[in-house]
Amino acid sequence: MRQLSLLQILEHYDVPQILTAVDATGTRYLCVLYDCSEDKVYKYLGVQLSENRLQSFISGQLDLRDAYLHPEVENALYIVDVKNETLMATEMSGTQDLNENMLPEVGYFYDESDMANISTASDTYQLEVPISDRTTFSTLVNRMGWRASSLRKTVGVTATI
Amino acid sequence: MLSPLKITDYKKQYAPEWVCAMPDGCPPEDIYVPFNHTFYRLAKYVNTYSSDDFISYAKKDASRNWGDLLPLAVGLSVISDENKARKNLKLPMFKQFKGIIALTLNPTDGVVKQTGIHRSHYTWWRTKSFNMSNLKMLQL
Repeated sequence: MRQLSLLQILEHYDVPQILTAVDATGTRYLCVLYDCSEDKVYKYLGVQLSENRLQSFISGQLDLRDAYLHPEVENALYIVDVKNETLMATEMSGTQDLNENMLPEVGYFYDESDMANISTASDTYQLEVPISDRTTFSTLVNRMGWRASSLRKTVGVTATI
Repeated sequence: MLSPLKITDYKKQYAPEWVCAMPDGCPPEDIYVPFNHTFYRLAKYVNTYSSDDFISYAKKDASRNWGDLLPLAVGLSVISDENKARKNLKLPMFKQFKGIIALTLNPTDGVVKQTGIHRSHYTWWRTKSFNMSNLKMLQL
């Protein structure tokens, strides 16, 4: 079991329905609410995924169901329990543990064009960030809703984003 | 139509009686007043609706520390786009929901504000004078 930190709520209806979270190693999770137990634990189905795959979902190219049925790596599925402000993830043994009640139906594609906080006015910066701060900086980028067009390593001790 | 107004002015004009005690700062200061404006809300059943469809999560889960989500939890989610409401039925939590209610709201029904990440998502802070008897169910 591992504790996650909330990154962003991607879909809200009465309560967060789809959210992204990150663990202590910087691994991202895409989580979808599937149940609320009688003792008011909000149960999400979580999948570890890369930044590229997360962007594929947000840009409407990845069916949400496929994110869970076809994870990028083995052992990527988790049950994420949310109680108050705490997110606890428990690893599932694999896709065979999935049942239909946990899964979205076929055809849920995220609609980025409906996002409210896309500002037409923006500035572009090029920053040099030490490699040791790369995860922290990526988390900050996600939390603020900024867009990092590329994450590129350079030879030496810095990463240019 | 949605008309922007300060909540203090709304309270002066309409003397709303909210369905529950509102926490401080809720509804927020900058709100919209609906005038014959249609929103959509998911319903448990395909052909009918009930008061259960209008219970806030703050009431369902009163012991939870809602933190920053409290203003949203004491209100109800409504969606301004019918297609978006239909798409939400694909999410696992809504498999138990079978219908969509079309709500035509007016000033005495409460106030709304766009909340969350989507332009089509609004939180509706409901008044006791909202009349639940004449709502329309969409065909799915």
